[in-house]
Amino acid sequence: MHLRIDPTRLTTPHEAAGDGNYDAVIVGSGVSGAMIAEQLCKEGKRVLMLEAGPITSKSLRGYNDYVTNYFVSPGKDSQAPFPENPNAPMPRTPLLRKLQPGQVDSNTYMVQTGPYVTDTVYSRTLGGTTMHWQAKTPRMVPEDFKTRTLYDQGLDWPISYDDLEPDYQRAEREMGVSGDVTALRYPGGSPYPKDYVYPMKGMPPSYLDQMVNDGIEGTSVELDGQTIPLQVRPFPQARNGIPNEAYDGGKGYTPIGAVNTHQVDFGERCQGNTNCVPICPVQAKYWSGKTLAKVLRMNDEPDKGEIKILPQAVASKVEINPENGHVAGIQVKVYKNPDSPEHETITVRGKIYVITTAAIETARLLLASGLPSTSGLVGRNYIDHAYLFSWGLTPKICGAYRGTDCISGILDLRNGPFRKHQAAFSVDINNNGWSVATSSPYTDVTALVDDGNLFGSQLRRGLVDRVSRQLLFAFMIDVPANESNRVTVDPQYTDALGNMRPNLSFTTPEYSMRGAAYARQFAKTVFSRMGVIDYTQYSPSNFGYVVYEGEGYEIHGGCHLGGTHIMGTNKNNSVVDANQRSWDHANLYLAGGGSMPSIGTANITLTIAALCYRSTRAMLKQLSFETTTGATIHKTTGYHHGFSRHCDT
Amino acid sequence: MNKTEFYAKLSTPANDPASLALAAIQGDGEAGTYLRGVYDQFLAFSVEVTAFSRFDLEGTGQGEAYFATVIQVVGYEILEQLLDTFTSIINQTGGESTLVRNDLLRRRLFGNERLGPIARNIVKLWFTGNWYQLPRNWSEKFGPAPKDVTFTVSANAYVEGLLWTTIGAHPAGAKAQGYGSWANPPRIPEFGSDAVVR
Repeated sequence: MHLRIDPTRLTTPHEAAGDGNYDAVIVGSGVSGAMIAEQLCKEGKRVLMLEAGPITSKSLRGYNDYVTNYFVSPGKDSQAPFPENPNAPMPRTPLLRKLQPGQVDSNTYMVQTGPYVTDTVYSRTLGGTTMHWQAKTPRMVPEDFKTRTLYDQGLDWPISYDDLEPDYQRAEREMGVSGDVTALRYPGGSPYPKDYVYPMKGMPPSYLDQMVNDGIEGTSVELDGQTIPLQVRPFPQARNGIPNEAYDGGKGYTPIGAVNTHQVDFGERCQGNTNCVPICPVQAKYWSGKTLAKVLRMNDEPDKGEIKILPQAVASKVEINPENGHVAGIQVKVYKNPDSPEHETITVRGKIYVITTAAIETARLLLASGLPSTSGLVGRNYIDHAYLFSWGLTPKICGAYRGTDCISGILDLRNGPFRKHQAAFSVDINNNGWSVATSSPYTDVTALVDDGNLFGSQLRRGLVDRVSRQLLFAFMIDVPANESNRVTVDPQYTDALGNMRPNLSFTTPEYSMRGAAYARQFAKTVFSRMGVIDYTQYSPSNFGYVVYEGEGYEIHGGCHLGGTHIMGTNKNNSVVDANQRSWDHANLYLAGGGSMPSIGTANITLTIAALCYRSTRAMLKQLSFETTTGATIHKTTGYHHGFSRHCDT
Repeated sequence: MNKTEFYAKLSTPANDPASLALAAIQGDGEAGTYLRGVYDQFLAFSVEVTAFSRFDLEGTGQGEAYFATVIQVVGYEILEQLLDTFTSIINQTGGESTLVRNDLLRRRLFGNERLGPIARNIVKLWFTGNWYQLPRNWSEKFGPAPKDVTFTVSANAYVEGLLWTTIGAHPAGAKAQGYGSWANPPRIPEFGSDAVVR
């Protein structure tokens, strides 16, 4: 399938501003933008999609340029493929520094107001953060949807796991998930329907996964009076594996290869490039371009709608009709060249508006537009996973730096009664050695050569000994919603186009730190069962250094952004309803992790994708109501589109 | 241009010595013949300090690029001094064991204040494809070297880093080993404890 964004699909500022007939204006081309566009176009709707960044990855050459950028970056940070773009900047890790109490760091795009500094990132480019994501797709567990009720922590969702389950299946189909349901059926896990299988078979666990399992299988840990048996289980993953002939009642599944080139070369099965983050070089990993390619193909089909894409278009202000609170248009700054702040400002209009720019940017846009919402909760309840690493050397060679970044983990501590007292976590077994914690293996080479004074055979032996025995556990720790963890804007901090930058204020709550302290203990226990030599060191000068009960930890961001426009049961306790529709602005949807009142211990993209299906059903209902009643035209007010209150569903 | 004139040009950073060196290696003139000899020494040194054979090193296709990189960043003269020191050690220890040779390499080359950091950087180039910025005290004493910043020589240099071969893995993002290969133990290539010189 080709991601053929031919010139007729790209629109111009002039054309976009002059076209009043869009059913939906979608801001963002990431997972939510693409999936919502696909569902709307499938039903014959016209969509305008705005992308703040360049659309480099639309061609194979552009996509490969990103891969090359990564290759030639000596630091190889998680945004290395994506060039600096002052007009639509993104957070970057290497520039972070530790904050002293009361300090604010505005040297990076995301202003960190502390007290803790996060290295969380997201990508502003065609494909959004699906360009960069690791593509693990665990479902949330049912208890994650009601943590307030069950554990007195965080916030409940207005919907349950069961409500979302059919949409999880849809999302798993769209993303082509490889997974082994059998390995995921365990007490406390996510319940799957009887006979359900993933579109593709599970990825084979790595040699390292097997080694960890050999060390822990048949052992258990005691937590809160509960005995928890340990086992390594493979995560479901949105990357191409071997199609499962039993999928869809025996109909099987056809994988989607690389878009924009021939499948014979790229995009078939995962080859084990060990580079899911920050970019899969062969597009075996799902990215939203695969869904966009489907949408673009619909343009040629008679019953389907159409999409127009306006690249390098930064949504800058949501304009509201003061009479009815509806969105009247979105002000967009369109630039020609990332190196120049020169731009033109246009206003685009549609019947409905869908903002899908991930939790930090969506909140930033609303707040910059002066729309904190009735509840005042826009930007509040910012959620991310707290990551804690523990690393060591296995007793024998474990074959690090092969496979996907992570195939398996220890999932048995994702759920349990202990969540009343301490945060749950999921454990990743990383196949890419210590890289996330120590910038290995480069730092190993420099250490062995410069400090170890090794060369020749001794160096080769040293590298085998030091690098191919690397084991790292990444603990993904639950952080419940908390109103004081928040995104704000401040007119003194703006980007090159004059848009206000996001300010982030974040504290890892004690509940999560208790989980972190236990995670560290847990790592030591597992290491001792495996005979692993612990090399974990947390540096007080690290930006994420936290002292809890006398022990120091480095807490990292998880890039799993949630909570800045949470969904709830009414306009006083939330920003959007269970369909991600704004309570205050009836023709506005805020789609993405920001709607999630809790994220539990699941990587969030699958849940975000599942929510898209739910939301598009509501959008289609709303749009069809508008078509049959003609309720949208408010010519007298000068606004072309909107919905009267009585069409609220 | 005779050898002496060419040598003078190479030693002047303003002349883009790296391109000159590469052009000369590929050319027929007196300077080319001379430089090819130096490049041979560079490869012999590289074999010694990486414990990879000349066959393996040439197989990466990066030798000339690394040779040029060293000349570009620190100039030709220091590279020549390094290689002459190496050659004299080899001549002096012909027939002796690696241990004896390594002792001399440490004392006279890796332990040399001026040459040591360059020697270590050549090792790192081969293993990672990165030129690493030299220690500050080196720059203060023997610099300045304006092009001395940390950089990756090229995308191919990254991909051809010997580190990955050493551990039986592959560079992240390239030369993937195939679906499911990761389920098996890595195949770590064997190497002799005595590297073959020349």
